[in-house]
Amino acid sequence: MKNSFLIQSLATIAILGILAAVATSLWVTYRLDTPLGPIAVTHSPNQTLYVATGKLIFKLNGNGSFLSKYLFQSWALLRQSPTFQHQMTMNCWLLILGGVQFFVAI
Amino acid sequence: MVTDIGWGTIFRCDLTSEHCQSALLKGGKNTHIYFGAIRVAHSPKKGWLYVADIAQHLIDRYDSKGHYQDTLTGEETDLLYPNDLWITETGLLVITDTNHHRIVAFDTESANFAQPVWEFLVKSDLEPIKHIGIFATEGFEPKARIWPIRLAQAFNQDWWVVNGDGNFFYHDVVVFSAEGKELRRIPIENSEPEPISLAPSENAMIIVDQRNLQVLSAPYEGQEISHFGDAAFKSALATLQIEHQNWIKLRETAWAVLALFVCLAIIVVYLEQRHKNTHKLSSHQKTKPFSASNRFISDRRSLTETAKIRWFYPNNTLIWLLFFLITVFLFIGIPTFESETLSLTLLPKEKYFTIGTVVPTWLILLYLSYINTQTGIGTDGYHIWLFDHQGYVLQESPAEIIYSKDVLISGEVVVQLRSIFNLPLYSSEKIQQYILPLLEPNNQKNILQTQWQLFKQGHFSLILQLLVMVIVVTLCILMIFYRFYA
Repeated sequence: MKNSFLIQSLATIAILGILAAVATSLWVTYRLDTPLGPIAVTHSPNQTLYVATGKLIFKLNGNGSFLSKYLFQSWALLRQSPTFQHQMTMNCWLLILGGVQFFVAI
Repeated sequence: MVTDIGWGTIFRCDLTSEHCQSALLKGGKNTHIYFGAIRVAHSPKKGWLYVADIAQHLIDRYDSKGHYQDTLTGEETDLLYPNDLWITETGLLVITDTNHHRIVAFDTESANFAQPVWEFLVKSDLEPIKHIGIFATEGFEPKARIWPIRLAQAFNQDWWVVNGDGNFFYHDVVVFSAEGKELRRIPIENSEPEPISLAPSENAMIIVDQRNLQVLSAPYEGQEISHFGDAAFKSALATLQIEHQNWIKLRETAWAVLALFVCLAIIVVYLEQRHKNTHKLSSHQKTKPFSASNRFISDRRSLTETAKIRWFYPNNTLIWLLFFLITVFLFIGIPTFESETLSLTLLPKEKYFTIGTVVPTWLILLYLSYINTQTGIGTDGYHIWLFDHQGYVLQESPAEIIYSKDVLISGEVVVQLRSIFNLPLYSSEKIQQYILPLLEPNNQKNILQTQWQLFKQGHFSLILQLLVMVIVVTLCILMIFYRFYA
């Protein structure tokens, strides 16, 4: 029985390890899909340039001198988005239904 | 400042307070919701705001306060995926008509707004760029990059256009004269650059290369491209590049760890098999196997007659209850929650969500309902008989039932079934009357003690199922909480 317990403990460790590794790689893949670096540049009539990255907006003058940077809370922005709210609602329902299906299926 | 993000919403952001407010543009065809990517251009003369609804091939026009004015439809303007907008100094609205491979200009001041003023095709006469790195396969024919997705007008009036291939994986920056004549392609170093945005400065075009996390400066005259920005800006970008590399390393590490745990799992399976072979049940515990323990379902009737087996079948009350609840929830519950701020209604546009959710759910429930009618448990008073949804009948002794890993806690005893979620599907009275007397009593007082006992004996499946259930339920609660109250 001791051997059995050891084997089952290893099995649990293997299953949890696989789940954790898969979850981590999925999360990192998702994170890498989310822009981190520069994604857009635009200019104002007075020749000031704004470079948007995944987190910040940099303000530079026309010859590239750094002027300032701004941090807009992207999550706060997202939460204001009606489309995002709608999408999250649908994800919520889908997750609940998926959970129900999963438990019934197993 | 007005900005747009991938979720189809437009914000007015105050740079001083770093605060943004949703500039909900009400009154349009699609109210204020855009599904998918949009692009925005601002005409300073009259203060018009143009919003390209790319997937719908529409250009919506709003006044400076965000009130909807009118819409140019794809039918009027013959646009197909207008991926970018540009307002010229003379007030022309210039659009990258991506799937028509052209740049087209409209006079926003004209009464006949929908008629193009001028246009030119971006089908390149230049040699396609040869791929490098892993795509440098011999014989690989690069796709022509003739799908314009971004544009900007330089100070010398030339048009700079980002052209993508059909999959928008490879991009070129091509310069056209004000008359639409192709002049040159901008050579960007680095492996597979992804120029994604353009903005003119006095002497050079600023190019954002998203894939390589760099911002470049390409002079209007000459080929020498340099990195844009001073040391402080370059340092900030370098930090982001390091962070990006760290994420990539973390993903590679996760894959390596996954491989290690898979190896461990394979070793465990081997060890378990070996353990089973060396710890077989003793002869007095083991019932002589039925001559053909795996029999097809057609034998069930003859077994009932010859071996006097009494079969018990699950009932589908729970399944049908789920049918009912899901139906009520989706078709009555959600519309009840409808409100402008929460937008819980299944919008007409999003009907495929309903179809995509309800139909698979019903199909799965129907399948479960079917297989539950095909499964059962029975006894001849000495052995326990099981038949699964594939029609296989299995005879096992009570000791074997207890020994097997997939067990079910039912009151005072342990019964093997497919999973704990099948419990309500069986008549507990009949199980207790006929099956339970064959099994050894479980002396634990409550389910937690029983589970702990099973855990110590190596029965992990129940623990794992409960763990997953707790995680999913917690996630659901957190999502609902965050969605409505945070």
